Amino acid sequence: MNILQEHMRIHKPSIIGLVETRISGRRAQEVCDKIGFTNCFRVEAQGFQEGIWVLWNSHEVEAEIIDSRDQFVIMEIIPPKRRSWLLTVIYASPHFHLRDALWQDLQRYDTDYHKPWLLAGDFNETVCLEERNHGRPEMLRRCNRFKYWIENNRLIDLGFSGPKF
Amino acid sequence: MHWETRKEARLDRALCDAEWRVRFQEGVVRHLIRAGSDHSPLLIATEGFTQSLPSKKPFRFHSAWLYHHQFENLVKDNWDSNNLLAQNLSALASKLVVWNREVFGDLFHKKRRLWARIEGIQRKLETGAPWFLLKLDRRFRQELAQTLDQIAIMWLQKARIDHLCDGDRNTKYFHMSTIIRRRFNRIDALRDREDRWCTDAAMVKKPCCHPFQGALLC
Repeated sequence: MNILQEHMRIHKPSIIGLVETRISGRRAQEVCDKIGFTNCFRVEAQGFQEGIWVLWNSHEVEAEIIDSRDQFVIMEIIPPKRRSWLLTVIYASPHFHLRDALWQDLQRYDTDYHKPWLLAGDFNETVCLEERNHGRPEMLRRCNRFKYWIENNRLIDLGFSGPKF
Repeated sequence: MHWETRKEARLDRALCDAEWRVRFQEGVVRHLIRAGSDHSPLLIATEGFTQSLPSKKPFRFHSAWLYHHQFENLVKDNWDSNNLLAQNLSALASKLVVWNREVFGDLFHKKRRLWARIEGIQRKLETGAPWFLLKLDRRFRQELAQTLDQIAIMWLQKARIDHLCDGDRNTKYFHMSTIIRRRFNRIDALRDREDRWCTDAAMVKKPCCHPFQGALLC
């Protein structure tokens, strides 16, 4: 929590997506209030399924939640006088079959909405063994599947700068 | 790193589609320091982190120039066969920079201007077709076709691609390749020997200043 607040103080984001949240209900609301953003949308943690929270400041950015599932929240960002775009906050399940269902779900959104699209979060998957420090051969098949999904949806990796892991 | 403390992997990332990439050309991701959680927070700045400092661009030859009717004479007039090749080239380069700005002009501006003119003429032609308007219309359309070809060639060159199908003026693909390469070439942050990240634009611009000397570029 302190670290999050420090990051917020330095970078002053307009929207925050939090994944793998373990608390829910009133306690979750208290934490959201403490973060201090005007709007908060939560996919609550249930049992072993952890949650996704999206927080934003309505005076900095106009946003609307379009849909949400266990593994993602999809929202429309509406900048003044410009075309809106979609932001999807992802928290992919560690379970293979659930993750596979997520890829298929997202594919549908791609065809339903014709807007610029950004997806960010925990995909629980890597595209190559270099992105892991423990490359087991069977991982390669998983990587290739994920890579194929990215290419198939004509998505572009925004890359990274900063610590590798 | 998620499952066990010693296993590490980059599971957090940001992906976008082509439209988003074109809209937010400076959009960039930084993985922030991790603490308290086993995720690296992703910081996404849609307009980029650093105000890009103006930099002096090196001379680049634009293949599109070759299609300008003045180009051949310009080279002939500025080429002295008594001089060395290197001298000729550098003299020509400085002439071309000026010529590009003053004569060749901004292709996109030219395209828009021609387009508007043709629209105007064709509207007039609806109410009658005097010969001079028809002639003008033909001339502008020829000029527009030429300009579109030049734009296609320019993107092609920027995209570092060697092939262009005949008549293919669809520049979207070349445009995209250029944006992605431009972002890829840009250095947003440097890491020094003590593993500290520097994102200050002015410092990144001067990588040879002491703390980063010999350090890894990322």
